[in-house]
Amino acid sequence: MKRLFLALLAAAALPLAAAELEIGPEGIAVTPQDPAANWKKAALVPYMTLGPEGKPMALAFRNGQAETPELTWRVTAKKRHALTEISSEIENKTQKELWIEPELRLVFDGGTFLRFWDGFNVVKEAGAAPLLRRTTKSKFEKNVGASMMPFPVSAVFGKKSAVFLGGALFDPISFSASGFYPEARQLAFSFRFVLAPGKSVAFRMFLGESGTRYGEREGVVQKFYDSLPELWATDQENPYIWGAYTHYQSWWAKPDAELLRRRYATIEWCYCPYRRSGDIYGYDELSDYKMFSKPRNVPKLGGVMVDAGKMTNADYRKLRKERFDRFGRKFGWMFYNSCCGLWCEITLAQKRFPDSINDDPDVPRILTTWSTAYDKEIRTFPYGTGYQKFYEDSVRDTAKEVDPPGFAFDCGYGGAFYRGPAVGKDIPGRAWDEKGKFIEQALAVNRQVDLVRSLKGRDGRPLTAWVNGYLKADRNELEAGFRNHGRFMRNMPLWRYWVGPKPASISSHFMFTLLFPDWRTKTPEELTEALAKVADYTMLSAFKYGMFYDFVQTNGNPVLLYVMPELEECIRTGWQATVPLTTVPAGLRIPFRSRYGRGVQTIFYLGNSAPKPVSGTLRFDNAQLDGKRAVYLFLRHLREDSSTVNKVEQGETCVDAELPSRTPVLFRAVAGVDCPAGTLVTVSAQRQLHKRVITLDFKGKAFTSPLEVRELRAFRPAEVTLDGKKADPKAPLAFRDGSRLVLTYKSLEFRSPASAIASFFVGAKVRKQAEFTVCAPEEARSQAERFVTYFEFLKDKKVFGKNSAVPQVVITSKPKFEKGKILLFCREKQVSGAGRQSGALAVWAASPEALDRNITALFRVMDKTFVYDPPFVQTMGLPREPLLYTKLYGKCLPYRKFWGEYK
Amino acid sequence: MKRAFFAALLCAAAQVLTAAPEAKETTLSGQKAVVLSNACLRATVVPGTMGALAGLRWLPGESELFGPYQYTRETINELLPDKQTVTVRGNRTLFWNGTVLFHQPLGKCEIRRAKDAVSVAMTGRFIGGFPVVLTRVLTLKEGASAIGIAVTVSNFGKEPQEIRLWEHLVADPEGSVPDVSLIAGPGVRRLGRYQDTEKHKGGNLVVDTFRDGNLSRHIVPGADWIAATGGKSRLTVFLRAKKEDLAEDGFFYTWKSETAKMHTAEILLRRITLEPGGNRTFELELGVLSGLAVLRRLQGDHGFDFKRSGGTLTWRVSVLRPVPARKCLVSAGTWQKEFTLPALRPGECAGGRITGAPDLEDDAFAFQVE
Repeated sequence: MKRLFLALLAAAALPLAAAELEIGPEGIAVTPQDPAANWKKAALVPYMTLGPEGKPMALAFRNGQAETPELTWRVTAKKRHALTEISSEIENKTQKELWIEPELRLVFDGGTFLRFWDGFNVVKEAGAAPLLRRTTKSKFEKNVGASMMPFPVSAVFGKKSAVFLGGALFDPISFSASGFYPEARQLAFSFRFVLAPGKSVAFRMFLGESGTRYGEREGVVQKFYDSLPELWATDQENPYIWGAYTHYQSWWAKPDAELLRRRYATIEWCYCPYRRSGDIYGYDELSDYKMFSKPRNVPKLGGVMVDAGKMTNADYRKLRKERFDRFGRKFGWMFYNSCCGLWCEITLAQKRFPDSINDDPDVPRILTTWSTAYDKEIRTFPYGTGYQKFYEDSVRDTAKEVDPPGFAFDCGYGGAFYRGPAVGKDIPGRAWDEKGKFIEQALAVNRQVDLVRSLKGRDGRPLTAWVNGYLKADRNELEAGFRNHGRFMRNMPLWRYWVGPKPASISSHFMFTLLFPDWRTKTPEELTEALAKVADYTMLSAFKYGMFYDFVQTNGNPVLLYVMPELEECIRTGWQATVPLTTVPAGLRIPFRSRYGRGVQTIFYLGNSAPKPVSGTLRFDNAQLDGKRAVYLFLRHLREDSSTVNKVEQGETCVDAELPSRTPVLFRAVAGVDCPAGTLVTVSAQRQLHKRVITLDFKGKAFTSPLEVRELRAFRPAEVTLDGKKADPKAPLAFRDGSRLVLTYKSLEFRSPASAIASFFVGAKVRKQAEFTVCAPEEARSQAERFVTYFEFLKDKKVFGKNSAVPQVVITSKPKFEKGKILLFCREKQVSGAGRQSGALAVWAASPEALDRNITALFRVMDKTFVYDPPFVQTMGLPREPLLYTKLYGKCLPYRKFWGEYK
Repeated sequence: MKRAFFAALLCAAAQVLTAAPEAKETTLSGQKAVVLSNACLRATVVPGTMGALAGLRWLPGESELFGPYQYTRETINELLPDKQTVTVRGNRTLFWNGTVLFHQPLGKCEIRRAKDAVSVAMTGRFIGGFPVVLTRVLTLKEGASAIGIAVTVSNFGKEPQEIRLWEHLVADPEGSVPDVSLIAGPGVRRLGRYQDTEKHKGGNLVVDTFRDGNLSRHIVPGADWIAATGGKSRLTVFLRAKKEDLAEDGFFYTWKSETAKMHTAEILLRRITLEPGGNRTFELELGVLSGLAVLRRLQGDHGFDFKRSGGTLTWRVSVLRPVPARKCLVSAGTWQKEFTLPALRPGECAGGRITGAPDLEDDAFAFQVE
């Protein structure tokens, strides 16, 4: 007798593992692993619906196999961290096409379930009636996209625990359904497939348990983040995705490198860099067509006025290539790309790819004068259709000719069903409903994202896919403001669950008039305060949702730029669904909170928006952090020296904290150890630009434990000493009462403290003259010239006088360390950094790219000396009048440097 | 031979329609409101939300025309202005090129009482984000099933202001999903914000929400009104503007979102530029007719529906004010027939048949009341 037994043991520090699942001759038995679960036993029962008119039929798994006259369904199971992955293969034994809906139902033998989540944005109370989700479409959301799709789960919640079935985001599934039958105590989850004669389909579902203490839906979603991290994997070295969106400022206008740098901008949405929608490359044989309306002369391509109607195709492509060569990689120009092939100029689609037209009546089908502003465009489907090859070839050809750093995909939404001729082909992802066969648009989007990621640029780096929407991407965009009560609130939290730990950004107009229709009734002082509140709301929200904002928000609000390095760090660390902390007193009002990273990389964020501080004890629930150690020790973030007293109690780390009004508060885990309850650890930090020293003083019972140490980006891994002796963190360390653990990090970007770097520029600051020389080898000429640009910018912004000196650039391969010189070194295997040496300021790097990064880091330090904060000016959604009224035009709101500055 | 017959009168409506109009203050969904009423209509106006005509009750049939009104105010966070939501149903004045804020107040409110009419005049500043004063005056006269809407816009800014007045109407008579009817002019019809356009020859257009889904339309006007008709009593709520205010680039607008559940019936008046210190008054009318399947012609106080089958033209008429018997000329191409309309009051309707009608499309038929 074959018995497959999956014993899923939880490590001491690990949160609850997946329910135990036993595949046997009589079926599949499921036993909860959560002690708080209010059910003791369940059976996992297969159901099958044969479409389009069949009803769900209960089948029986015998040793993991179910049979019907039409098909064979085999399942296997394996542990995937905190989930159980149930892999299925269904074989069509007939010679006819089958429309199938395989469904797994968890049939409980008891238990009380209070609520049900079908994957959309609402959790429903469980009564007697079945609760079913039989659609994946929701409210039409974006003008030209489609709608939010459900997180593919079916979950029921008891008082303290949840159990759920679900699927993996981005698997090629066009239709999922979820349901809860309270009277029968059945939780159901299903997919739909079209199965060709004699063929098989393979798919996977997941079974999991979670706690509800830190949110019902959040607990479920977190299990997917913990168990399937590959779905949200990010490239930390991608130079474009970890910064603010330029928001057309480097696309419509000639890029101002210094202004963009001061705005932390790294990525640009290069809207419509093609002449004919659908033909992004611009093939000569397709370039002669009748435009729907007359093109206009519009600025794009870095400030060039382009009239597509008056340019030849060859000239257009030549100009585009020249501009992308010049600015593309420097300013993160993402090539806007016909919405992943979801829209195409109508005559091109109708004549060349009629099978690709998507005529889903639930979403817009034809757009007039949209992306190019002169084409009529029709919704297309670039998967399995004639348009697929053309479109994918054009992406490859464009990448080859233009060499963009990546592509910007609009309309990264699902919620539109393609029902054209391609559904007759045996391609993965086909589903069915009462109207016939279809494929969800999201499958095409995810496929095109995969294509882009598989391509490499001339620099050898994979291309970036930036998606306006929630689907697969290297970075996701939400086109709505935090203050947009409509779209933003409607999308949240579901949009955030989909995007998960990936980087995300938000862009919108300022929405001044919408926020303050009655602004004239306020005094200038009242309006100024209202604007300051809105800026703080944006800041607190950005940390809550882990999203970059852009210059529309940061102009005039320097506090939003001040916190940007920490916001970037949080986003890089990865947004998580649960925020496992409680407070004493319970219910301490902290309306803004989030968690980034797991285990020793955890960062907790807390934001108090009230006018007065709130105080209490924060209890961080270590078991929920999904780390390797039992206890994590935290340090409150400042850029100056600080210390935090950690008390370990019942698996929780407790810290006392006062949360000031309208100030983001961050607690970083610095180390993890298996220390006993009652241990008191004072964590203190000495923070300098080039060095961090974290000291942990232990009080309490002796213990022995391996040590887990936080990694700091742009710092070498910590040197560890315990009680003055160098320690190997991998080996168990013996801690005693009074032990002192010291973690020392050295910067990869700086070799000197900030004060030493600032001292180099004292003269320049006082005299407002940059009277020094930048010496660099030929290969670093452009990097040397950045210093000239830096000070030209200050002149342009009137920080320096009109005739003040800018640095002289001297190209030399043998620079001398002398007072008043900035030396750039670019040598293979060079240890990286910037610092003072023999009166000079030097920047070392192993490549021009690394030198650029180090100079950018150095400039951020210089910015503290040469202050320029982009001021309020009339911009998108922020009119001039109220700025004049408040006398804020050309000025900034004051702010506190609540974290201080690095020494 | 001319044959006509008069259909049974809707006697439920045949009550005394001469009660003097009244105006009184009240509250609606927690907001200050003013009720204007006569024997035909009870109109509830909320100055705090753009002076919206938020409630409208057809008294002869005790029927609601706008459904329930709800205003909510929610504090999202102390750092943000409160979130205010207002029911989309009803009628209000907006600016097409301004910020659309259903909750902006026309805070200064005055009730005016005359011998045969009552009015509420409401004024607000900086409406839609423009440096303008907007005054909206709603007037209900004795015995009328129509409300006069006078909107005055004054530019007190230092710059000329280009504005386009947007008279918004969402009606659901007796809880129905109504058909929206209008007469389109010849020209380009734009479907949706980014969507398709099509050339339209003009004529009667009926938008059926079930058939047309979420489609939105911008339509060149072929007449001066747009209407919504629905409910078991087939009540019609229409908006009528002055022809000159619809000239040039004025248009009708009807759209539906998933949340709206039904198509709107809206009028966009032509764009004008108000010089600093300048002002302009626009006059419109919102009226209610009963007993018509669809409003196809609106001529003075008479609203007609008609259908031609073979050579027989079947017509039906309803009125906005008590009217005596009148001569009416129906024409199509070179064909004409004169017949007599009976004396009618709001809530009553009459109908008849005329033979010998030519084989022309319905759009060719016109009714001219003496």
